[in-house]
Amino acid sequence: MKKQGIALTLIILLIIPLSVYAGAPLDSVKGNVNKVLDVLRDPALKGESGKKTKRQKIRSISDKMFDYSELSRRTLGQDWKKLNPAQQNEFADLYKSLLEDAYADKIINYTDEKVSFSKENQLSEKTFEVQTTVLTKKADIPIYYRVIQKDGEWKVYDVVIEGVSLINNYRNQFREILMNKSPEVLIDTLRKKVGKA
Amino acid sequence: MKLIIMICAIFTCLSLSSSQTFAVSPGDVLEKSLIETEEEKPPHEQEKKPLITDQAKQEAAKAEQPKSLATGNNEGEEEGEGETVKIADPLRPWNNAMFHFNDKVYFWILKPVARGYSKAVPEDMRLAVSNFFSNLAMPIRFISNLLQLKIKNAGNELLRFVYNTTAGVGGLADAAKLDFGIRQHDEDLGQTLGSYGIGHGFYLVWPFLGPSSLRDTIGRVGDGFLDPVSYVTPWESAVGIKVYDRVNETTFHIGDYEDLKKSAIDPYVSLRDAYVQYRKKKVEETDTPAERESQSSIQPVGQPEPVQNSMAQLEPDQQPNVQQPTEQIESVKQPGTFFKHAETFVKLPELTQKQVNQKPVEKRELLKSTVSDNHHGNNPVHVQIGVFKNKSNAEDFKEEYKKKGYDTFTLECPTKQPGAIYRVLIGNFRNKKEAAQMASEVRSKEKIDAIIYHE
Repeated sequence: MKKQGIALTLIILLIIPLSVYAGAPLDSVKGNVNKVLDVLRDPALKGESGKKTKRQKIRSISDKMFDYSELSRRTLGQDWKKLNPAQQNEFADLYKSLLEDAYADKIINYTDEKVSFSKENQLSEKTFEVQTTVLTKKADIPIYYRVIQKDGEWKVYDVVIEGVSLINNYRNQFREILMNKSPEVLIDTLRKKVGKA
Repeated sequence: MKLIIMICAIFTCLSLSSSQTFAVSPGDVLEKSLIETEEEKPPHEQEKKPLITDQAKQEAAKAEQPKSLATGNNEGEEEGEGETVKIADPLRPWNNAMFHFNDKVYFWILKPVARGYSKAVPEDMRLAVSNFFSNLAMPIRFISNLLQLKIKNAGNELLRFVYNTTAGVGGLADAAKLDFGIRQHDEDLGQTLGSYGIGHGFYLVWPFLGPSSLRDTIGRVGDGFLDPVSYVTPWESAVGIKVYDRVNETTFHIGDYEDLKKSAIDPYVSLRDAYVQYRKKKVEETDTPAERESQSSIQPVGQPEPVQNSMAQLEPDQQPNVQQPTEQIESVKQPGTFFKHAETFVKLPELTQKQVNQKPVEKRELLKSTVSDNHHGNNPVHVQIGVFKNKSNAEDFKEEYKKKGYDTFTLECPTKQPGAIYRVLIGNFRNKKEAAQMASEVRSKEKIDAIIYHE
């Protein structure tokens, strides 16, 4: 009887932690980053021919991983209200393409870097910061993902690389434009940058 | 009866799994205490802001003029807003010109030279050169750490210098990091001034040298006096050496600047902001949280603070278990050889002296447990440091950590899908307490994720 109890405890013990942590921010980020790493290390996708497939796969992962509307809203901050809803939508779309072009293409060249997931910090009621480190031969690069809970999932709304927050960096750039130009000019600049003019 | 056992079982595992939560997200409690201390910081921050001159305020005011009041109630925005770091840029025409000048220097000279050089010289050699120069620049870090009263970091820098210069063959290898896991504490005088609450003043771009600020320029001049290379005569040689250092460093960063330019709407603003954010982080976060914690707890020197307390702050997952017999602490107070002491000192830069002192004992205990209790009778507990789909990757990872002195092994675990996953574990511990100790040690030392694994 006692033995059964112990066995049962152990069995449940092995199962429960998995289900408990499924929703934790760290695991969510870890899951997504590992998916990306799996794509990058996939031996079937080596060489130039595999690059296109890799890019597509990474984009579909990043679509699930990031919340681009949250990211856009936070980037523009108080300027967000200067855009009308149609402009807001287009801005979010263009901004997303810009980021994907810039970063997905960069990531593709990585292969043997290791990523370690150190911990998560609660930033506010709904937001967490997941701290990771990319270990390269030369140095350890701290990359923090800031996530927000949306519909029971953790979505990334900011990436902080070596202390440089992505959305803060863009905010300052967009603000310079919006300081003395209309939102339409901003969107037009983005269109040109992304090549959708 | 069965029902009672069931309920008991569920309660036990709930309590156990909740204690395991700490193993997954270490230092939650610590984090909270840190957040609290950080909340105390703002006065310091506020002191800083006025120093960023009125220019920034004017610019900001211009930007937010009419609408800032109209758009009142908006959730979410404020959090992002609060973090924006601004810098005054009164010399923008000059800075802009220098930005374009440096852009050309990079694309026309630095990059082609670095490319050619990196083709001719293998990466490992370039890494050695990089290590050599950073070892040479130790005085900058040493003095800056001292000036910020980071006595332990300064001591570590000194130890690193001695060890890397001897065992690392003149600083070519970062032996201190490889052998003892003691990292470099990047500090310079600009950061030191920043840590005193001195703001940037204004943004300043130097030809060849790149982004800087009034404060960091002053710091840089000071660093020049501390950098041994500056004392090379004739001065042309010193410049030559610095240029070589720069070219060598550039080989590791080819593409970074291009990426910034590619992703930026306005590269000038992007670079300026990145510089300010990066420096802000360097000034604020000069240590890992654990180190910061230890430094604050190291202050009551001489006061025989009970070990339990400091441990409780550091390792919440061990809180209930850290009733270390006092003899342990005494036993390690016996003077060891310099090197033994140095080793423990450098091995655990995150821990306080006291905790460090008690470490060797723990180690011995762990060893005992791994050797004598190797029979798998009592459901041994392990520390999982990695999971792999690929067996050879798992083996590589295991070997890597075996070399670092951990008792690692791999465990093949079947999965629902065909195939298996391979866990890399550090084993075997008698109980969760010991495993938790090892897990937190691995986490703080190796900066990897480590969780407790029950077989």
